[in-house]
Amino acid sequence: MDDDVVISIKGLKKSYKIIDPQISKGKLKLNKMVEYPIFDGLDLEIRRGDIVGILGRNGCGKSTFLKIVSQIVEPDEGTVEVKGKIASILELSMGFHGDMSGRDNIILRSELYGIPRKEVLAHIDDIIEYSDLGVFIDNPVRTYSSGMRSRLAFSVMVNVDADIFLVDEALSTGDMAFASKASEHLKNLVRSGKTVLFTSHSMGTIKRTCTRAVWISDHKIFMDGPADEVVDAYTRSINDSVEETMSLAKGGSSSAQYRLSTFYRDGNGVERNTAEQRRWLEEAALREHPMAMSELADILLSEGDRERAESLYKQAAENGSYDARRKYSTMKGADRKEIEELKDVMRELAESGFPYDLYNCGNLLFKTAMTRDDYVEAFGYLSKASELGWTDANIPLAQMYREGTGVDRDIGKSIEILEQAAESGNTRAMATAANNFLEGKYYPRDPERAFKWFLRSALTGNPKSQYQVAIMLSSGIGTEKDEQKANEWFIRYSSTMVNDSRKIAMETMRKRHMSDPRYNDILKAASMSYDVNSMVTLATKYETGHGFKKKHEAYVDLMEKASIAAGAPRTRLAEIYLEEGSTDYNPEKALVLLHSAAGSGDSRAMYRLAMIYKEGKICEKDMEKHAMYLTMAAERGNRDAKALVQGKRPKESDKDFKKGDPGKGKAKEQGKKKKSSKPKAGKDKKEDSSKE
Amino acid sequence: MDPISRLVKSAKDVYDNRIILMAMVRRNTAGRYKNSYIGFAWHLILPVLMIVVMYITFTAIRPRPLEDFWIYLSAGMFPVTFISSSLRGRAVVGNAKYITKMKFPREIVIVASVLTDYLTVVFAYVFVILVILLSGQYVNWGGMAFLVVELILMFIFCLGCSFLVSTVTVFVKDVGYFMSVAMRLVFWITPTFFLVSEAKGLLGAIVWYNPFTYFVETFHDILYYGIFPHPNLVVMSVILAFSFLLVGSMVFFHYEKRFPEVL
Repeated sequence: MDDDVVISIKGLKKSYKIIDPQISKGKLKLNKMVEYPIFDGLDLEIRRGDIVGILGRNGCGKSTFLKIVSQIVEPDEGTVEVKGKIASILELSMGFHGDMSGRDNIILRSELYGIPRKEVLAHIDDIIEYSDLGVFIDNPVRTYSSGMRSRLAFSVMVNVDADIFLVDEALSTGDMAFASKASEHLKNLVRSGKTVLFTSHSMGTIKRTCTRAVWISDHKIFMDGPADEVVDAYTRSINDSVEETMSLAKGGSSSAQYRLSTFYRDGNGVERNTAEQRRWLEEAALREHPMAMSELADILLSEGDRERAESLYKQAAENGSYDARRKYSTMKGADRKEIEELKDVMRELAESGFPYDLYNCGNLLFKTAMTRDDYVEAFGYLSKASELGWTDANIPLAQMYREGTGVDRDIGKSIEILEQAAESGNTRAMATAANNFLEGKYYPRDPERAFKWFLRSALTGNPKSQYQVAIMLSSGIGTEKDEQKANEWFIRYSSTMVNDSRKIAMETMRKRHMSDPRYNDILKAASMSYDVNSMVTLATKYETGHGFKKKHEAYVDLMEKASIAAGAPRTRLAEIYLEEGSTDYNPEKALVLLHSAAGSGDSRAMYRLAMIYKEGKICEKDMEKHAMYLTMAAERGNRDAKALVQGKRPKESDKDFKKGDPGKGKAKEQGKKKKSSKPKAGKDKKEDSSKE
Repeated sequence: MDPISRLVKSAKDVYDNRIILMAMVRRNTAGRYKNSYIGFAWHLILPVLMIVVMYITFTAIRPRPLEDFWIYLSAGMFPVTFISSSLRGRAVVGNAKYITKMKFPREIVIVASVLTDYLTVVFAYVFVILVILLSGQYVNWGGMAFLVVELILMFIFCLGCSFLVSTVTVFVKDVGYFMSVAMRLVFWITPTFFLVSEAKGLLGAIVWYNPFTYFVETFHDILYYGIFPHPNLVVMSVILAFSFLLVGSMVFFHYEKRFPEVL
């Protein structure tokens, strides 16, 4: 075989025995086995230096395929030739021992890959650093979240030396930052002449990471080619198949339900049917699918149900639909009549044909558009303005192409005109393009391109872009990691955004318009520069869903960051981890946090610890510590603690405490009537430091 | 490939992958009792407790108690506990996730699980021998030297049994449960707390059909009676160890290819 071919599969056949589906109904005793083919004559050659993504429906044999390549499973017929050493990571959490610490598990797992202990110990600090697990590395693995586990597992793999890496669904867990780090690592491997095969259900990951993709279907390779093409074809096939969508929709997928409603609307693969369209729209809207809500609102509005339409627009807007946001603000905002008049004036002005007027008119129409006709009209004005070289018009135009409002949806076109405007020096267009490329929500994610645009925009002095450039440089996203350059940009950024003026601006904003969207932006910017107060406020917004889409992860994430800097957030973070039954439940972590918060003088943390030691539920009961923390908390002015020390019942109005244990603690307390004779701590001047 | 050269190749494979083997053993030992206070000693609690109970029971009941009965008990109890635990047949099923997800010589899971139990018996024996030496009992040094050989033979025997039982358990789950019941029964027909010469009637008729008896009796000869073991016992130990290893490994190697699919 060719020198560069590292895996060569010819005529692979494999079948599993399954219970005969004909007789299985209820009579399992007769389980007669029949052969079920998985691969029927599969041929594939993989060359050195490829990252190959393997896709296909569940049960199409992706995992079996990897198992055959790694020679765990033997083929029935055909040949599998592999050149070089294989490292297969078919399940990231395999072989972790829950009771052993992360560190011990790194050693254990490396040994399972055949790396001698000595060598692991030589590299262990690098591995730990790569895993980003920090202080948790010496805690037992059973306390880790699934994301942390896969980070740990992936870090071990980084140290494995092999020629071919097989990875099964590895990059699907773990947060964004780690996923991109991991996919960077795979790319680096390939650059150094290794080969990577991996399966994933995340089309984005495959597109971003792979050079080539293979689509397994009908027991063989159905399609093989550049990753982009294969993924697009695969996505299309899944989307277009009505049957598929129907079953997904019935299974409760809101995006499938929305898609199905569009099939009924457009007569795509099914007969047109307004009743069905309506039904699926309602279903999808119920599951808060923004586009479905917006579209349903359109229908309701045309039927005259203004009230419900309004609330749906609002909901959709909160879920991130720009379209709905516009419509909602128009409905709520200025007088309709006034707008109509304004529109007429603008139309008249636009008659002149000056690009500026064309743009203004188009923009107004776009921003106040309610119906598709409005959009079409706006599109006409805007594209004329754009043709005449008014690049500002390209931004709303790109948005229209992106969302498919007023014109057929065309991402390629959207990118093209946005970049055109950016190319001609429009800073807003640069920043918009960069944001879109980085987000990867509407445009294909492309950090390098995003970086390019941020950099150009930053050079023109845009502070937000300067900040982004600095961040991307320091974490090596879309560019090579360069701390020094990053620092230069941070300095430029901070000189643009003088810190004090920002704080003043924020205070003013806080007093005036809590609902002003700019307030949120400032909050975000401030929390990125580690302003604890802003972080906590922003986190609370995420948790309560006030002004933001409700996002628990973001809340926890922000609180984690904030708790590095101050004690009070640590207590609140601990409360999250103490919530029984929630996915975040992690008492060990909570205890660590509480202790450190108490150590930095947070009286609420002390009070909380006192209660925990008394309850003895998550740690051993220790009345001595209970008394100690209680006194400390009381001395620092915690009212509940004081009340307890004095043998009174603590006040009920306790906002900082969420549901759960504290209530129980109090109830017990009341029954027992604490007789502690600890002196009343009146001398202290400190206010309760946990109050934000 | 004939069974013997397959076995030799397998031994080489296991040796080449000894890092994985030791990692598995460590996972089984250190991992299992992590965060417990007495750790590995939990392994020894059951046999020690049995010895104490038996000692008390039988010294109280017997009209003429056996002299130094505790040596007799401990010489037999540890090997029997070891053999029965390696016969539970969980080695392959219990390590399904490695078998299905990792490319490595699959016999390692068997060797690792037997080795884990084996460490216990070695550990316990070191302790027992120390006590024997300290209490000034008569020691036959030739026998003591042979003890090492016999321990290795017992290891090989258990390896063979485990190969056999673990393989069958993959396909017929009931065997695993059956074995844990059977082991209880076998315990009572193995001379751990009675002398073979005392076995009468039915017990006397079947006691020599129990392969455990040969190993246990060898240990009794060496540790309790302080003599070099009877040649018959030695020959039988060798025959049992190697025949079980051969048969067990043949079965294992014949079926191991199907493990990833069945598990």
